[in-house]
Amino acid sequence: MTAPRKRFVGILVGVLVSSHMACVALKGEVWPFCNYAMYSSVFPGGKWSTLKLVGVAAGDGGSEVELAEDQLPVTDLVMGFALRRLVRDGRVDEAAAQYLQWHLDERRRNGSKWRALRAVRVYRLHWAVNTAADNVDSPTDRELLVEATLEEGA
Amino acid sequence: MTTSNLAGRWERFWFSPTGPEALGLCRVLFFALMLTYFGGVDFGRFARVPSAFFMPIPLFEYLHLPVLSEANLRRLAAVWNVSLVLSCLGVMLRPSMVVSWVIGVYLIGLQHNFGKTNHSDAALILVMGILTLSRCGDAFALRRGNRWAWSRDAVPARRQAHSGEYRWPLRMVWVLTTMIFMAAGLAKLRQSGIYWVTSNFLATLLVNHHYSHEPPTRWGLFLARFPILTYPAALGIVVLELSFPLTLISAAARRVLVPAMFLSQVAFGLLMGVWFFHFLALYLVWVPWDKLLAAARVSRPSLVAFLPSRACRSRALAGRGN
Repeated sequence: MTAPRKRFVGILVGVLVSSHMACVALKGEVWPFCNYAMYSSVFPGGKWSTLKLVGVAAGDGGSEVELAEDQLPVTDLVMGFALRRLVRDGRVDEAAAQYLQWHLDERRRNGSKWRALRAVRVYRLHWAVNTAADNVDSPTDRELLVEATLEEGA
Repeated sequence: MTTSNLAGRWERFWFSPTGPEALGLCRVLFFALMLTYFGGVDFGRFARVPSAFFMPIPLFEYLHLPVLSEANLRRLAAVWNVSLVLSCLGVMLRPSMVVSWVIGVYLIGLQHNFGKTNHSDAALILVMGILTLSRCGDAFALRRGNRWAWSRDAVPARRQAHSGEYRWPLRMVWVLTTMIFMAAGLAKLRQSGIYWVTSNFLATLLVNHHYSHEPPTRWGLFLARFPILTYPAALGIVVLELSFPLTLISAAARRVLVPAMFLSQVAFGLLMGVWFFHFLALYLVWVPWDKLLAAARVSRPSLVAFLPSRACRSRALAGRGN
């Protein structure tokens, strides 16, 4: 190997290491350089909360329907994170309204395979966590944050 | 330790002459994994995600990278898949790897603009970049000679000589892996200190993931009931992450820490439903392929007829040296 080529490799190593160390030191990330801080912050046990988007069916008294992952524009996991950021940024109303329009458009695209919605709601779900996790399907409490409704004739 | 000692160690670590097979095989397996990870992803759907959900990561924000139209995303993904296949096979390797890296940065990065940045695929981008800059096509590559064939007779013999060119890319992935695990350990200490271990937080994580994820087993709930198990496990995780840099300097440490880290990530999947599939691409590089291929040559010569032959490399060494 030539000396310039070795110097080039040395520079690459420097960039790789210093970029990661900078992310660690600054507690930030500039993807694809990350600080890999997942699960690093301790939080108290015994409770759990998350945000959830729920549909309101059109034409049957307004019953709520679970939105399967294929009825979300992103995966269920990503949606939870996205809603958290949108709530924090005060943009969750706008996002819920846009989602409703997205659902309508996608439903038209897929030949109305999905149930029609007249509204969507964003809830914050709370659980009193127990070590058997036998109440996963029944949150202890839920708090309505936002409801977006389709305009007449949409 | 003197400066010359240090320089010698640096030289040996990065540039000790090595054959091209391990690097070539890692390239084949890496791009095959990339195809399994991303070959079936419908990138076109990201064009339809409502704009309120678009929260660009710095790469997209500062470079003003747009979300392309659905048709263009699908076209780009098709080109990407072709370039991944070509990179895997070693056909038109340099251009195909450059294309697969550039498009990969965009398409893999695109997924992180909607509220959550995934960490595990970041390493894939960096590994792809390292391979693109390396001579990973000098073995296990299809070349046009009299016919398409694995590289045995197609790559010029002089390029199959032992060289540091075949060592540094693999070592750089070692360093990358080490940075990732060490960063994870340091983050725990910086954010929570020893409280991460002493608060029995691991038990909390094990239980809460049954509310946030869908673990394939309920073993995590069982384990969480026994602090006598969760405290040492938490300590073990932090020690494992922080001691991972030892793998760079000690073969004994490699034999223990790399499988231990792999098993701990499998445990995360089984206990918490968090799978680190993308890390398989990193573990590939820790497998001692040279030794395995040498053993395979001895025991099953018919199965490895496509490998660059020892005789070929010997001729190269005799004729040109390193």
